[in-house]
Amino acid sequence: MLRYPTICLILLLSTCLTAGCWDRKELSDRAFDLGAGADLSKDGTFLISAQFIIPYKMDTSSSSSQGNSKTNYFVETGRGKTSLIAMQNMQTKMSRTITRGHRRNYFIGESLAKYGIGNLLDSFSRDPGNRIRMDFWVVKENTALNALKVNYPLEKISSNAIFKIHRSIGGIVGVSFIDYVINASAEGSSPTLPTIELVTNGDGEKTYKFYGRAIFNDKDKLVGYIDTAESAYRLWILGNLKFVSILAELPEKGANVGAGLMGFNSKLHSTLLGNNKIRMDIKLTGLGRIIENNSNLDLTNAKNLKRIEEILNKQANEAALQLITKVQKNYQTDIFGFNDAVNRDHPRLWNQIKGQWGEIFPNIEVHIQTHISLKQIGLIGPSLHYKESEIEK
Amino acid sequence: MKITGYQLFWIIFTMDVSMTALITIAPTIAIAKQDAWLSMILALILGLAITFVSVKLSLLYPEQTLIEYAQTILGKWLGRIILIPYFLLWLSVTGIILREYADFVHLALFNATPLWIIILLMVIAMVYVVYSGGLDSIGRCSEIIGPFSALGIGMIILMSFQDWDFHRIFPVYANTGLFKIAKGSFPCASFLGESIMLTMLIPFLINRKGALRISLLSVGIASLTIVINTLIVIMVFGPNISARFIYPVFSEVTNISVMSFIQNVDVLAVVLWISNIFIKLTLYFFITSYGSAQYLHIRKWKQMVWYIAPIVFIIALIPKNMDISQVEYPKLWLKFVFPYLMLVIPLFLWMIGYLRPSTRKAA
Repeated sequence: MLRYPTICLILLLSTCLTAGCWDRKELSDRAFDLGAGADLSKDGTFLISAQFIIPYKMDTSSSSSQGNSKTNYFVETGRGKTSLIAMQNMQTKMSRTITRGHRRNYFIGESLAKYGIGNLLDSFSRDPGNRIRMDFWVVKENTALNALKVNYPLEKISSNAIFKIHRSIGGIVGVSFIDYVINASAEGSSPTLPTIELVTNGDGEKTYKFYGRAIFNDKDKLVGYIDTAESAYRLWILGNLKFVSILAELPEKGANVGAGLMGFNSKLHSTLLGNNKIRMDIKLTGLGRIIENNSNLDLTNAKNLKRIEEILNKQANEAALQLITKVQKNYQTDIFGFNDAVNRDHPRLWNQIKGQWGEIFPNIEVHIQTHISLKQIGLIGPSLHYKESEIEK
Repeated sequence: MKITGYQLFWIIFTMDVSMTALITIAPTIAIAKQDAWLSMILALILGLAITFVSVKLSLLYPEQTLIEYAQTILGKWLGRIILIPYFLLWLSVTGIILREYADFVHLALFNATPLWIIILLMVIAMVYVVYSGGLDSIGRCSEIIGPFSALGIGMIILMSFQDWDFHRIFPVYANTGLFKIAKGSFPCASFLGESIMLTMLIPFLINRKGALRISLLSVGIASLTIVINTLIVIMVFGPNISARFIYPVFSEVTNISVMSFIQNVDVLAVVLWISNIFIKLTLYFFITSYGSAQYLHIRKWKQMVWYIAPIVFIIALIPKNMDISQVEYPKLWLKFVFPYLMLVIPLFLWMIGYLRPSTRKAA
């Protein structure tokens, strides 16, 4: 019975020959595109740019990378009427096949965003070479090419810095493309994309800064922005916020108390007021802890803590309401999921009015109730530097 | 050739889950929107009903296959006529599944490999399994592949957890209504109805006492998996987007990212899926070969393998593009195969067989 072991051996050895890269595309024939972007050229074509790793410079030992070069990637561009043709144009300058499977960020220049990104989106989900889990970014008042040229000191590939920034400030990473198409395809809602701007850092070099979110209309054109604080309130309303820091102003003392909030929740409830007028009741809740207290209040006293809670609630309430009113008035785009809330509460009504949401949304009467409950005050009661007589019990 | 009840369970499970999960979810969501999972539950009930009829029918003639007892029940000539569409169905569906498999693998993995090579390699594997051991080999393969694919499906479900948004399945019922939900159940039910092939498998079962319980359990669990997958696809992508994907489950798997660490698990899913398809293909291939041998009174049924293999290979190459294999053929299937070959004829045979016990004694 020598046959059986022999066959096993042959089978095992054959894996040495057969296992490997698919389609005979070896790693050394691929160029990994880790971040890319699109801009609008003056002649109406797309200018696609991408960051590629230079593999031999990706050496992990730090001594070699400090030497002759500053970066271990380079940026290449391609021009064309569509994304596909521009990519093909880019490939004519590339010695290796462009591989996009690891791409996580895609930048869109402001001029293209204003012109409309509708012609750009399809291939990101149709072509299996693309990942649908990726983030689209609008580059505020700048171009995607400039964003890709930024040399970010902390990350090997600078475009990866931006998703780490997004993650570190409590954003959900990798879903903005899918969110965009879901909202763009749904009746009533308007899509948004996260936004960055390019600023000068402490060393006088260009760097990234998270700005907030860009709002698009139903023609996939950029209509406006909301800033970081406003986009935090939007996420709170949507129930997706992870954490945020806010201040309770105490104008009579000329001081303020800072709290870090987490554990958010939101409940949207709609009521029909007749004549296509809708009232939206939003209940926002969150848990918080005091991180700084610049006033003379002794926070071990429950009365004082209650006072801070009330101020926080009032301010959060006003800020959220202000944001909704601003969007209703200036952009008329539903970026808060109100359409879904009405559909959940009054599906029959929704079937009738969904075509007119554009006229109904700006006139929705919004009422917000905020319940922040402070759970912790940190390691000290009153601030340490106050004299006993100055502390307000 | 004999199979155990355990093997039968995994054969039916792998056969039912694979194609159904990949192809029928999108058309169902296109019709029934966020209530597609209700349609899938309806499909589950229809699938169980078809299974029930097939097994009950087979148990009336426990030693015979559909080929034999169709002729016992209806008499020789009518029986032989009514079997012709089944042969056409088996031949064409084997070819089309081969093509659908090749299309998918070509798109997801081997973009530069010619389609016919992908098909040919699978045909060689099918011929090897069916020729070497017939149903015995299929049973053993599914015994190994089945639990792995169930585990894989479970892992994929868990890994997508963080992307679930429960809001997306609401409002239930109100946006669609009974008509659309019922209509949405047909694409999936027409695939689950493939359990009529039990009429060819029951005679090989060692212990027929548990046949009905095992078959229903197997079809039930497979359909439940599809219900859950439908729910997940809707919760991840919402009803509008998922209806437009060709393979929503595959897209959902490519979207998986657990803590930015476990990503690109679609290759795993493709491998699992290919092995499931392999079971399904060999099963159809076996049934066609064995059935045609019985039909033509050829004693050595394995000889038929050499005729059937080239035919299904050629059928697999016929469709011009994906629209024909993936959209047009299932439509034909839904219009003709599902109502007549899966519902009317088996029910009709069962009723006659039940009302005429004399035919059973003859067997």
